[in-house]
Amino acid sequence: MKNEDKIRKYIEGELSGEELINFKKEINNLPKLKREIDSLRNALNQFEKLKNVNADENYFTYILPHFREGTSKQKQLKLKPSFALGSILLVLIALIVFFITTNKEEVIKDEQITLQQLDNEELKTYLNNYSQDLTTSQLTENIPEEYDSLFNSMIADELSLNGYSDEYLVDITSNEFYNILEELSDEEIENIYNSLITERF
Amino acid sequence: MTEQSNDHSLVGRFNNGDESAFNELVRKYQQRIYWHARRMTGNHFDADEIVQEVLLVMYKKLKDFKFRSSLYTWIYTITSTRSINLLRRRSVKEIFSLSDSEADKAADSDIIKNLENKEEVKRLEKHLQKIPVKQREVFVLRTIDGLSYEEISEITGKSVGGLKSNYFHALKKITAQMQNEE
Repeated sequence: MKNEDKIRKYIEGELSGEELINFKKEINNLPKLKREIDSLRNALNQFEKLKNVNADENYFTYILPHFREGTSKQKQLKLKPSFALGSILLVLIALIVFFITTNKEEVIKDEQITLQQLDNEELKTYLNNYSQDLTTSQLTENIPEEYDSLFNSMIADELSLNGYSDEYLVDITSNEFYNILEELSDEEIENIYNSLITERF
Repeated sequence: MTEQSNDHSLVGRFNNGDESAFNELVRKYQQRIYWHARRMTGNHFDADEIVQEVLLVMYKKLKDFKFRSSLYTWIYTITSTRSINLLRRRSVKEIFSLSDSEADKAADSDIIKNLENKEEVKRLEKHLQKIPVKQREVFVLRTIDGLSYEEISEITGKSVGGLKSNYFHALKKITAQMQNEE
């Protein structure tokens, strides 16, 4: 048996019989060994003081209520993560809806650009894309004078396409053409426009 | 009624929904939990934190406790584990200079009554804090809590032979520290 193990057993009272007698003899014969064992025992004895410490008992009466308070708070905290997640989702949905609706308004706004803002090419493109949605009154009422020639050209073209050009072809810059236009009633003009829009676009 | 059968009864009542049984268990073991944690961590503030953690584990896990060991062995295991985990966290914080200012502030808050007693306890706690955690654990359980090596083996998961060696090395280190003090 190693000496360290023997010393530990002696200190902890695990040696007995012949082993104990022999070791005691050894201690008596070796002062260094005796000093070492005495130091170890002295250190151990000091820790006996930690076995019965005079402490404030009020602290121990507080442990259980503190624990119960903590567990009830934990139950409340469990709700918070799901509430937070729900709130975040609501905010995200609100943002998405807001984003979509504001974009739609912009689209509507695009459609509400007045015809005054368009040049001839843009107006042709505009009529191509949106004439199905617009009423003829919108087309006719909002057209300023400077765009009158465009519709006159459209009417002239239409007459050519119908194959009646030989009979009805007129110079659109001539007074005769404008005289024809003036003789047409509002209703006839509207019908012409409608047929133009329908056939062309 | 033996302690074991009393513990059996209390655990059974708690698992059947009797909260007062848990309260009785707390009152029975709270001092042992506190003082073991105090000796492992070296201060009241950390020991208080460990006590609450251990009670929470007990509250959640008692339903799974099958009495393969004694209840107090199980409680000591939880207390030791939690204490060692806290000490590891503390040492990491110290490395990164993130020391717990609350623990520093609470250094003066203690439950030990008279001044002479307090000074002596602090002196001995300092000696314990200077030895490695695993040696400290077996030394405290053996010397102060009075457990057998077999019980300590259940708590720590170490062999009895290894524990005896650890114990003796801890004792030698503390003795040398005390001699240097003189």
